[in-house]
Amino acid sequence: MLPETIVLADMEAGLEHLSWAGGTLRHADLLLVVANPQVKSLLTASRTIALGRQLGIPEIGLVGNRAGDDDRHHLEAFAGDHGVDLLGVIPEDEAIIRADRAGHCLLDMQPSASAVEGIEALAAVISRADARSRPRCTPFE
Amino acid sequence: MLCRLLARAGHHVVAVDCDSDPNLAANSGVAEEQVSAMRPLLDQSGGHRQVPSLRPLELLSEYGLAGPDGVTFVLGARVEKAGSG
Repeated sequence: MLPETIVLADMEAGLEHLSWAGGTLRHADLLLVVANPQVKSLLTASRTIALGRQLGIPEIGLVGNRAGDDDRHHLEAFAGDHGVDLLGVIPEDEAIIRADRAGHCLLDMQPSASAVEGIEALAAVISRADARSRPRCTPFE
Repeated sequence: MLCRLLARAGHHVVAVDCDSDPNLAANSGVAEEQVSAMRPLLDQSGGHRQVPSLRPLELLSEYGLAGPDGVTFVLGARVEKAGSG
């Protein structure tokens, strides 16, 4: 038994995996909708949230990506309008592009980067949410 | 990165790449030669697609790759050939 296991599935960008694929995601405990603060991205996020609800995913959270300092307020308002929590905000960070170019993970190349801090804060929120929902989880055999 | 940071927070983490153009393991700092040696869960070599029928822990030991911070990486599928989707 591995009672503290978190299975994190990195899905393809877009909505296909929510509309077909047998609704695989309906088994998820938490759907993280990652969106940039731009209008087009938030439109996709709002469709994703609606599809996630239709699938019956119990918890849906918004993660702001590539966000500037002034975007947090906007993202919070968007999350509030859609009845979800803003679980994290990852800042726009040149260091990501540098790490990408060098073919390294930012976490290894520059662990002090502001984007890493943002993801660390998100991990802490998810970790706490997992602790709260633990009794619901079915351990592996 | 999220998978590794969750692992550092004390969780046992299984990270599944469900993108048909997978890059989760590579982006998480797994070495290139290890990434290219990963076998996708979805077997598309035959006439129809198959997913192995294994118990979860067997599946992880068979298909999982032990990555940095103890994260187990699993590859869902990979587009191997045009027109197969």
